[in-house]
Amino acid sequence: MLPLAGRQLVGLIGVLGGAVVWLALLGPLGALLAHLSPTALRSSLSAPQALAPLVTSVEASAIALVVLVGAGTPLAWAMARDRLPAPRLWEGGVLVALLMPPLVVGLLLVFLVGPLTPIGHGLAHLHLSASNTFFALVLAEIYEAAPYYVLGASAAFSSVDPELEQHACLLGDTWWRSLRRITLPLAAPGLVSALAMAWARAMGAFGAVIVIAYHPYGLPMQIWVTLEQSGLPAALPFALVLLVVALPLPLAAYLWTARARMSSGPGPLTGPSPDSSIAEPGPR
Amino acid sequence: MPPAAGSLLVDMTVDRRGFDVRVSLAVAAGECVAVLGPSGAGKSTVLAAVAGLVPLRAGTVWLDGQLLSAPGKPAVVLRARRVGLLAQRPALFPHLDGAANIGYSLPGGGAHPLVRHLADVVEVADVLGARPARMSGGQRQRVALARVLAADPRALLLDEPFSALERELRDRIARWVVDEVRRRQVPCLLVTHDVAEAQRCGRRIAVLDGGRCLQVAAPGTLVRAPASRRVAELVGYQAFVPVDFGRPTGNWALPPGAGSCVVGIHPDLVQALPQPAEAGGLEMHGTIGSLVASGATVDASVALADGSTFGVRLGAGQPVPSLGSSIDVLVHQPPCFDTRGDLVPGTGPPSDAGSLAQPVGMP
Repeated sequence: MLPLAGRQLVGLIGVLGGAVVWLALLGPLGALLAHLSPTALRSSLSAPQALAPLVTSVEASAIALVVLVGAGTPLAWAMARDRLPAPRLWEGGVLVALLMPPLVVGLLLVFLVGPLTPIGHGLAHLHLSASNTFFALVLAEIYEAAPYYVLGASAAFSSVDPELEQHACLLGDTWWRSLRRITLPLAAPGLVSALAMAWARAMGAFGAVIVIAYHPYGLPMQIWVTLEQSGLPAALPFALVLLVVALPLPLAAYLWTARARMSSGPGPLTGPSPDSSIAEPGPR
Repeated sequence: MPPAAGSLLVDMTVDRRGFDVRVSLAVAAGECVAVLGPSGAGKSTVLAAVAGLVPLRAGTVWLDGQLLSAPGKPAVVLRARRVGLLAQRPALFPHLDGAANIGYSLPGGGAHPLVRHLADVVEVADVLGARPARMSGGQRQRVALARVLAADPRALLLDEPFSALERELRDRIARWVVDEVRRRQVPCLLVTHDVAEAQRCGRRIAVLDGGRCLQVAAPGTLVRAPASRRVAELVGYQAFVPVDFGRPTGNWALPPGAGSCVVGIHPDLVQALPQPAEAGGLEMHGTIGSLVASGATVDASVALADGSTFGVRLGAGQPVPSLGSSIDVLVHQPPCFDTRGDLVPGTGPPSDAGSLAQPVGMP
């Protein structure tokens, strides 16, 4: 045990260290706000079609999220409830998708769904192309965001005690009804967090996008192209727009989750604790 | 052959980590059978199998003339079993308040009039608006009990349902549950490790140990005539001493041909001497090991020459001896166990035990 002064010193070092890390993480945001001049902001954003990339990004991300929720939620549930054969294999697959550099994902996507591949031919029959199209942008965003959503949603389902679902069924619920009344409400904070994370990833997707969906410009591509053509100051306003659109949802979701956790509190599933000390008279 | 309407017929083998649970029990409609045993005996596994949460390896579960489970046949789904399970962990829905938990199975949920009624009976009306996280362990247990009863189950499976309640409340709720079981005419299995609770609630008591049912007996019979030494240990016998340690008195005698056997000693069946010796038994001589006040009486522990010890209650009016002093005790009508641990026929109490077999709530 440290003496009191020592403990205070350790506490102080902890606070200082935390402050340094916090400032370092938020530093870029500060730099953005410091270097953004009102005139540059006005001239960049008032150019004709300046906000088109924003619309493109929001539309593509929204579609990507709908696809993710539709396909990723059942997978996440099955992973959380061990309903898949070879569960480690599935988890590994999702992890590989998470760990692969987005640029590599983009390159591999070209070989998988590009115009000269069998899948590309199939897409052509549907009058779709996965190369420099809106469809390609959505596809790239799905690939970049999917592992974040699936892992997050799987963790959210895992946090719901299956015993609660069993009790709901014993009380007369069908499986679907217990899902709607028990599983989904209890998993909701985690699901929303996963969704918000996926939203931020989809909005900011760049690595895979630059390879297979250079056109049409989403916000990240607009930033990149502006940076290349007109230099740093001209790109900053678009960076601000991207942050404003991508960040609030995850932040709000985080705050909501934290609040939901506070209000339901710890230990609703813990066993009974004696109301009084004379709860257990031994056999007489 | 389907059993009688309303009754629960369990005849099953269930695999459990490390061993298997093999139990055969018939519970009549309106009857409460207490399942007594140490932790790890397989008590909760029996309930889980009846509820349909664990599969059977062999055997069947019949309820109200319907085959609920049998191996090689898809079990009736949880929803259609209509079996009320109160698990050891109350498992309340943490996102719903007390009323919504109780009314989970009812149309209208927490607003259904039955919710208020049940909450009043189990004395949780004050936490109807609270989430489970804000309730005490005992309140959660009672809300879970009300939730199970609200669903109008065809059978009740209660796993240590009163363990978190203080004694007075526990007795009140237990009496109500037994009455309710009879009023609704449903079979009830009540798991407990407390002999007194099993005697209060069960019309019969099934003793479970190591996955086997050792004895099924009426509450009055079980303690006085345990079927084996193991059952005797489980229902509170404290010592087993060779019969020749004592001197038979009164009308008590070892049946002829009993051979070498041990005497089971239960603290309720031991009296300090001198006593008006109207009943027969075995007189023993030992020394006082400890003295502990218990209510208005004193519990003394008696050590025999072979080192075994057991308790004796010194009632009102009896002199309290000093520590280490010698004491004569009478062991009333003791059951004897042979070398294999089985009850020696003819030992134990005379057959007046049946008159004590009434559980609480019986008229």
